[in-house]
Amino acid sequence: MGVPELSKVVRLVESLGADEAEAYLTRSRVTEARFSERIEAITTKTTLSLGITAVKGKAIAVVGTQDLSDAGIRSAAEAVVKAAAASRPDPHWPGFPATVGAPDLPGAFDGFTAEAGAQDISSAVEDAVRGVREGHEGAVPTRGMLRAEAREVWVANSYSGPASRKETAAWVWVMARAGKGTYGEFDVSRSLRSLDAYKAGKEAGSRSADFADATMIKTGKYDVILSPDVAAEIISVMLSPAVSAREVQAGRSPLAGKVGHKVAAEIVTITDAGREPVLIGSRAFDDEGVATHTRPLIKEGYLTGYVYDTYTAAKDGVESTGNAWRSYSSRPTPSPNHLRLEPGDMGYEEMVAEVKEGLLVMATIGAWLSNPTSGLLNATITHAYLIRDGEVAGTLKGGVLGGNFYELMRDRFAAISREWRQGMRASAPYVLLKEVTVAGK
Amino acid sequence: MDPVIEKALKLAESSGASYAEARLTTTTTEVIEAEDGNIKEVSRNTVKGLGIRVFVGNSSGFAATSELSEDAIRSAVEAAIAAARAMGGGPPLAERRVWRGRATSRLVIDPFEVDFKEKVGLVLDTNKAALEVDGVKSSLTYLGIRREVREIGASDGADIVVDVTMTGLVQSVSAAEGASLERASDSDSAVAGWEFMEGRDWASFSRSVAELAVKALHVEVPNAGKYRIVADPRLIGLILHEAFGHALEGDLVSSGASVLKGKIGEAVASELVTVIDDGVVEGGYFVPFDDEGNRKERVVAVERGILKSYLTGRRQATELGQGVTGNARAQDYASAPIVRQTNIFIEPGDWGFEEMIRELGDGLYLLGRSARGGQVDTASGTFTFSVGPSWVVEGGEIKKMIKGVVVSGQVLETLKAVEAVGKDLRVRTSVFGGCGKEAQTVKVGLGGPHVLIKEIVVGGR
Repeated sequence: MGVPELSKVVRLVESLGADEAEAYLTRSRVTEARFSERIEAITTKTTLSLGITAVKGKAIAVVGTQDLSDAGIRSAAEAVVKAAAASRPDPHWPGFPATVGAPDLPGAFDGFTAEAGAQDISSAVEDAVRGVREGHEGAVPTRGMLRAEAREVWVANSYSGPASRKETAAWVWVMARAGKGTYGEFDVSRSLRSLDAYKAGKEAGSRSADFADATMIKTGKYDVILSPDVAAEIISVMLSPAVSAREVQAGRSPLAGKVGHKVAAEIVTITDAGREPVLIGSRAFDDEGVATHTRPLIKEGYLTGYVYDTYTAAKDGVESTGNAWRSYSSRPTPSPNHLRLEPGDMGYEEMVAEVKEGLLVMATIGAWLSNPTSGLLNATITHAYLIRDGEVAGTLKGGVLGGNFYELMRDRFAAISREWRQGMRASAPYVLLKEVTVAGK
Repeated sequence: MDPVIEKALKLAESSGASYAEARLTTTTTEVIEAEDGNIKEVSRNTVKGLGIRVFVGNSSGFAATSELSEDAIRSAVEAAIAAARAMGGGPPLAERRVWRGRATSRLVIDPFEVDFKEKVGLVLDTNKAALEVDGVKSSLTYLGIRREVREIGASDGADIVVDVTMTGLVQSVSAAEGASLERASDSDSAVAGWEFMEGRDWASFSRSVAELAVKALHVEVPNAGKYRIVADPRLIGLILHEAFGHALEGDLVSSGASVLKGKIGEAVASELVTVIDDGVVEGGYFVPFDDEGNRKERVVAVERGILKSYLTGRRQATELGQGVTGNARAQDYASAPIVRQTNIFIEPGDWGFEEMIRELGDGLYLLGRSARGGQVDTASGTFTFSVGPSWVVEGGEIKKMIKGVVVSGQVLETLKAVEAVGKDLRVRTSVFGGCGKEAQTVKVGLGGPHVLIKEIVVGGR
């Protein structure tokens, strides 16, 4: 099915009685495999989804549909106008952006990944499985997923558009087992060709053997090195909502009123990387059609700003920063595009050498259960290396890393490594924290 | 049988499939959101499409399309066949009884037919009730309505329609005093129509969430360490689902990603514990059939501490050499079924609540209200979940409130440490969110009675 003309959809909604209208369309194509030692399923799906927003007397409604026939679009348009008429006005509604669209972001889209077929996916899975086996003799992949996806977005509103953008992503996650030891590893890239499934498999295989005799962590104070994956997840869970203007304006963010204040150690600089093509989450314009930016949020420990969409920007009398995120059937909300903790100047080896008695935390679960409103962090460690006198001295599991995140970021962040790694919408280097409480046996 | 399903099955057969399943699903959701006294958004979404799973010999492939023209169905079938041919074989599908029919959940007043203005009014009134409580900084309210109609047809003649309607409301509140911020949230949902919304006092519900957030501002986080605890029915449901239920899932068991592999017949829990996974339970979600068209059986997974059964679809039943339990579930038409829990709970025992608190003596009474969920690493057996504002118990009496509790433990240890099981079984489900696994989210139900556990690790200060 072809892509409907969004300007026509906007005009239709206006003709049915809306004061303003917006049409937002996504086309997604996903090919993915689930696997263990063998491929369990290969799935291909293509989805076209249309979201129509109508505003009537500042009351807002959204209707989403995947029925893009003329009749389907008309029925959605009628439903959205009816819903807006039945709703109540939002006094803060500023109107849709006057201009949509921005220059392309070359490198965010890869044609091969967008067209990847079952054979391409299956050969990348074979690489991952081979990697696990070569990572350690006797290691086997117990669960894995590998996916190639492409997403195109079109936006038009009563004042501007349509504009379009497209991005691709490929990722692999593989869990390996060797004896009683297990380990999960991933890789992510804009393109299936540059995805290193073999390396992810090899890393999972070799580390799973390391964790075969992991013992329970004992409660105590430790120097803790967070791996890039763990650091990126924690920073994303705690800061993504806290820097969102929506949370700030509603008084749900501990960073409200803190712009210009010191909120972290001087070594901490955190960027919202909205226009770095290789980083997942970067895109030419946001989900309202506003151009994205790469800009600091915390610079050398000082909070420099929040992330805005059009609605929250109007409330604060500033310009949108291009951070609107949404599903097609709902209104956007501001969120970082890609949070990046900037690398520091210490090498990873040097960081490990500095630890007398501590943990190198490789994986956690449940960091997302932390409370970004109060700042209370909780992450359960599933895989950590014990470090003694600067050297790895064993493997551990089962403790809880906790405390107030802002106190940790201000008082305990002691060093940040040069080496860093990309995650899905956040990237980070290794981070050394001094004297952190870990609850365990 | 819907003509789209019939067409897909015929095309699959003529393209060389030895077996095929087609699923046509229509999911309609409506959300009304209010923030700080204003309606933020009214939204409705309809997702309709076809998912087709084909087998060529023992190799399977899956494809999905939201377009239902003949050409689109044909290319989905071709993509599924190509996927099946691109991969090696797998275990054959276990035999099953073929079912035909329709199952509809209980519904008195269709919530989609209720006037928008009435729904908007209820959401606004609920939202404003929280704002009346001193210390409240922000109030967020969501009304959720969902109807899902799934038709599953297969080339062995199975043809099942499952039609489920849910309604519910979530209230989230932030409270502030000085530099301290706290949040609390709660939701209540049911597999039911608008009658569920009419039968509750949502303003009181909203105020009580607000009071919880304000109260939590002033209470302490406990010291990190090990505690003896009583878990309430909401929390024990979470513990069971995360700490044990995932490890019962047959796909994880057969690939070696579950610590319960090879443990059928062994003691995996205290003899006070019997664990059930059932598709139709009061208070739970409605899963009379799974997405392969299998009838969902009542599974006694653990009987008085002994592991009896895993959860399976047809492939895992073959691999594990047990029956098909009807647990192959897909998020939507665009996802292939994987093994999922349905409604999991611990069967009630004979302890009264007060008796159990007295028996606890010194410890914590942990509550699931305002908890954020949990997660498990089934392979290493480590799990974690967050707990809502809870209570310190001293000398068998409930004393002071605490907050910020996250507990963690090991799958194979926690249920063995159960010392008492209460009489008061409650199972809950939610129209908001669900359980995530391998990038798919499905609705589940969970619960149990109050349970006393000898030792659990609490993260805190």
